[in-house]
Amino acid sequence: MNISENNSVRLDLKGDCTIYEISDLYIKIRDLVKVSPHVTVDLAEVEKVDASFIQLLVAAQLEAKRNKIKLVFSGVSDTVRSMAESICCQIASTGLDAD
Amino acid sequence: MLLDENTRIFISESYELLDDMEKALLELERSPNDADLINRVFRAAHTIKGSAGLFGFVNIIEFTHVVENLLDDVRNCLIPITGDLISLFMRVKDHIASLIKNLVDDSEIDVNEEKILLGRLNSFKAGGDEKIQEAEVVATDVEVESGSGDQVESECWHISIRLGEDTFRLGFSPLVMFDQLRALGEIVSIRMANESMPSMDSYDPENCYLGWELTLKSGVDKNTIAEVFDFFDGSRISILPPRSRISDYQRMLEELPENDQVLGQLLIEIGALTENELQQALRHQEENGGLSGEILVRQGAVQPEVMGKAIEKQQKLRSDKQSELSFVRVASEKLDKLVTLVGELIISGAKVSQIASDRSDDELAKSMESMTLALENMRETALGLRMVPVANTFNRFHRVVRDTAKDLKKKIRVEVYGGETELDKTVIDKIGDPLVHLIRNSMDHGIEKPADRARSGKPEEGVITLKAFHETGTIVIEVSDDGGGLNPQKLLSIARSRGLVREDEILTNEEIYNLIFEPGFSTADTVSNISGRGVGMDVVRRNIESLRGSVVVRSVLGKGVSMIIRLPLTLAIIDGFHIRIASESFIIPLDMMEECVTLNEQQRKRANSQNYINLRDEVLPLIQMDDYLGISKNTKSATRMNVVVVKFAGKKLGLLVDELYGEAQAVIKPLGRVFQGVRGFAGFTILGSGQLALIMDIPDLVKSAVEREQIDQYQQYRTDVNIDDNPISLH
Repeated sequence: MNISENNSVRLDLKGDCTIYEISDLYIKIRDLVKVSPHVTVDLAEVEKVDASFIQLLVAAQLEAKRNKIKLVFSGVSDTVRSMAESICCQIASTGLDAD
Repeated sequence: MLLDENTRIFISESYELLDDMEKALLELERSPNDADLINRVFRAAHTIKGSAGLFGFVNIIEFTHVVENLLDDVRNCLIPITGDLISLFMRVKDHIASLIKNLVDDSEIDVNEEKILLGRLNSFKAGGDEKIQEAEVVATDVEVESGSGDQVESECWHISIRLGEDTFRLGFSPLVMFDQLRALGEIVSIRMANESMPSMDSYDPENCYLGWELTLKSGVDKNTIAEVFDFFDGSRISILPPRSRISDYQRMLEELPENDQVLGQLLIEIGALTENELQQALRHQEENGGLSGEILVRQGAVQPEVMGKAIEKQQKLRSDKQSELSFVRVASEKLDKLVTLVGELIISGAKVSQIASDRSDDELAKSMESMTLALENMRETALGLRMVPVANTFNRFHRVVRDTAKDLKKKIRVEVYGGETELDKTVIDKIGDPLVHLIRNSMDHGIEKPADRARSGKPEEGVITLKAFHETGTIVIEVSDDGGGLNPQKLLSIARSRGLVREDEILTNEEIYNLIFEPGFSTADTVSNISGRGVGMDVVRRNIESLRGSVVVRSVLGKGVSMIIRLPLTLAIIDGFHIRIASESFIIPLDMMEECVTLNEQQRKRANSQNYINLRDEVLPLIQMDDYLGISKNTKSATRMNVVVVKFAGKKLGLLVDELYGEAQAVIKPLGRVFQGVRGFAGFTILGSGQLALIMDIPDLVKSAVEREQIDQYQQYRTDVNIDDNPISLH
């Protein structure tokens, strides 16, 4: 996790993001939306995702909205996008269209 | 019409639903405010309509649709529940049954009745609508605006999905689900239902919180759509067909955990509902809530009692699914075949046992012992398959009593005890009609008119009691009423006037009561359409006797009558006791046996001269079986000293036999037509040795022995007083 000068935080996720990794990912993202009003999660190097991960993105985005935090997902790969679309998680609700 | 398996299932399930509908309607008459009962009636009509839809039985769908509409209004308290309405729904139920029957045997549909019923259903509905107009002008406005009655405008399926928490853990992916849905048609619009998504602090990353509201354009049927969700255990799925009724959406809103308004907006967004339709659904719901009069605990805008119903429905759906898995419907002929085969197996088993014993082959005998044990278990299980509770038959009488009581202008209710008692299906099927006869007879002749009852200090409402219980290897079914009882003097004078009893004949009360079963005997002063023609009671007795059963009448004048029917538990295989009389083998049903007694020399002498013995200070009448059967002439055994004590209907009797062989399972084979008139035998069986053995019908034997004794006494009496006319022939 990188904290920049303007208090914005950036988290780079790499490799597989599936049910097997989901508990660790959850802790990282949960803590992230608590420390800064401006959070970026970079998904450029994410290789494999499943529905549990997309759900986590949705939950994080909802939490961010509730707490008036700006949460941006950057570097959204086709893998992530197609999974989100396939399971009909609107791009808008995950913020996957932000970048 | 040749029916496929699915249609047959539809038919049998529909009959079950109709039975439940009738039961609920009868209960509704007593407690018209019970919302649960109305729901049961509604559910029956709704399910039949839905299932008929799957098969395309148009006339059933069209008729039940009108019924369902009216029921929905009744459910929403727009139409009050009256006796008339219940009677109408009873007729409706009968008509639906006839529509279903038409599928089975192409029987004629009473078009006239259908017309009348539709007219009445619509006029009830119209009456209800007037009331709404008076009470709630806004409601009519909305309906006019939407212009579509109570149906929504959407031409798409609406599917509401809330995946179960364990979906991810179980390894299921919504991806597969969506792929399958897309294969069925076009997902026209979809929105995620995020309302239940917890905050990050209470979020469990392995739990699934996903849910969607979607509209699907597809030509497939509901079952095909439902199959997509087969593996998603614990998920909440609602599937509403195109142009569903607003009330269906209302129910769905109630079932879902989210706030109704928010969810409603979602439905508008995806085009499942229009704004007006949503408002209508929400208003319906409020009216429902207000109706119960209970304080609503609004948590997420879900009414607890409505939620309860929703959960109940969900559970029912789930249990239906489970029961599909854990129950297999089998044609009863197949079960009969199985029982017959088990019977054959038992006969062959007995043969092998016999061979083992003849050859003194210990090893074979040992193996046979364990095989016999398994065979016995198998027999029990096979017979158990055919056992069904008598409740199903009993419940059908509520309707009979209700309708007949109305015709007779009497107040009568039915009380049922022991409905869980199980009886062989073959027996149950055959006992229904005789019971109806008995009940109608009790209602017509037994129970008095309300005014007469009041005069004799009885409550105005008469009671017919149906009881079932087990008693020494038989099932007893008792039909009693609390009416006027039988008047022996009146019965006797009628019997004499009709020449059924001679003037000089002296009968006990029990014998007089039994006269009611004589052909052509009727005590009713007037002939009604219910009974009184003297047809029926003799048929009742014949039917019961054809089941190897018996019927006894008990009565107390002024207090009522009880008809006590005794039936064998099964008609197929029995546990028997193998005996020898002279050189012949016989089987006595083990259930009827009390004990076996070996007589000493003194007792033997007495038995030969007196036809009774003293058994532990009790008089035990004896039948010399060889004399009775007329097989004693050449083979009289000097060793005969065994008494088998049998008991039936509280009477004990000793059978003097030559040898006791022990227990044996007997497959009852019917006697040929030539021997059908032979009394005292229920059939025959094949023994292990291949020899045939007659199976004794103890009740008949007891009866016939008593009759013979009476004839003997009568003859003795005539000899004593020196009456000389034509002698009475014995047998």
